Amino acid sequence: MVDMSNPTYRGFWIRLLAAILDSIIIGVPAGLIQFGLILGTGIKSLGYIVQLAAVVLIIYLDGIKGGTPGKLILGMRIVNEKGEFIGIPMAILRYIGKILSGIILGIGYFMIGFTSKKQGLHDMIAKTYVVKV
Amino acid sequence: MVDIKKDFGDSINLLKKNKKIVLPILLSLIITLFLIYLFLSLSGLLPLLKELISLDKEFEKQKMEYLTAKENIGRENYTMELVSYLGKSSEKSKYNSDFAAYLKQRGYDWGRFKVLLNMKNITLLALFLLVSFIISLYLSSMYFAAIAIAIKKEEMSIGNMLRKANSFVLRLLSLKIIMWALVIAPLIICSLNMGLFAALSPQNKALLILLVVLFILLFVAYIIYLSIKLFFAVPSIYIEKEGAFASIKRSFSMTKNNLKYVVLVFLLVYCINYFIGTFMSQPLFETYINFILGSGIITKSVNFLLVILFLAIESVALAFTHIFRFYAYLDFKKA
Repeated sequence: MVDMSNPTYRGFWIRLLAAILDSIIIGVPAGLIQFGLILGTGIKSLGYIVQLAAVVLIIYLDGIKGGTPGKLILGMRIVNEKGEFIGIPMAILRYIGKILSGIILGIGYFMIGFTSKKQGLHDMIAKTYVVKV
Repeated sequence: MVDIKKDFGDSINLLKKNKKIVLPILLSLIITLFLIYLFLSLSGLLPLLKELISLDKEFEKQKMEYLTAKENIGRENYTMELVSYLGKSSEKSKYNSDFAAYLKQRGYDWGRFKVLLNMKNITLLALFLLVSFIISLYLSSMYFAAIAIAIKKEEMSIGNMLRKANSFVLRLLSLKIIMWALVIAPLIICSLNMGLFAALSPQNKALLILLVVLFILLFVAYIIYLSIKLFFAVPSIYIEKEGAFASIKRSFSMTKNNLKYVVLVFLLVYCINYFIGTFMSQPLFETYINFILGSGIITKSVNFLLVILFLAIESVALAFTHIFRFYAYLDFKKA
């Protein structure tokens, strides 16, 4: 649980850095596993399982651990208004919100830099905050 | 104010308590896949496609053997072959033109597909599309009815689902017909007008192209507008027990106010469907095609298990999406 009486909200650039770290920590191994499975078995559909597993992992980490490895390394957590970790249902909503943030030309992400509580559109939809711990 | 977070949570809880809602959706997907297999078998396409897939695998195996052979690394065309292989999903990739040349070399006769384009198969396709539509419509009515039953906390039994589905299926069909009419009518009118313009002023090609581009943009905007305004028509039929016209009227009225939230919920549902399409529907379809066209017991067994997995996941995800739409309807009704 995070104390929400005077939180430090994390802004656009550090969250971008966390996303870059995640693409290395999660993305690269997932890509290698996917490539290896398809190459080794010849069953292309196994690649989809790896992609789905990566999404499930991201949702699990966001909901139960407070963030993906990039956020955890940089000392950030995803919490709700009470300072608690958001749980799986809200992590799913937040993930869907991230798709929306990206689809509208990334405006949902850029909002992080301009809102008072450093929330992206996906954070506003799921009522989450990314705070420093 | 509309509470999307609460609607999302309530939708998940309702689905957890009423798992039977998934059954009609699962059945709809299974029947669709079965009809695809049946059509491919009866039309004569299945053996041709199996042969094509088999040759594709042979060609890919040859390419892989070339690329993984140590003596080939460093050869003049190795990089080009590697880039071509890695980018094979792209239409412009040299891999596809190499494959076409390979097929020609192996004597694969594309003319056999033309032979299958006969009246019998066209009639068969039309029949299958009609059967698929009727079954899909009935099962859609069944799962919308199941959602309404669950929300109203009525008896969630197969019998009750069937009764409710039967009483609303014609209203759902009427709604679909009206929706198609609203889409197709402007399309036909504008196409006729542009055809007339092209016939009367054939020299004005630049203006015609401009008109076509403008028409496409306006038509897309119109479809988006219509989709948003009709967003609550289906929940209205099953919750309020209204007819097609009344549900359309109600949906238009509800989406008049709180437009910001309506658009947001609409976009969220669109994103959920995009997610389902990317991670579930497309993998399901490709895996199923690999299962019916592939060879080898192990490969077929793995593909079969993956089909079951994707079927289950997609059914649950689709059920959730529809439930969320119903809860959004109830929330907007209160607002």
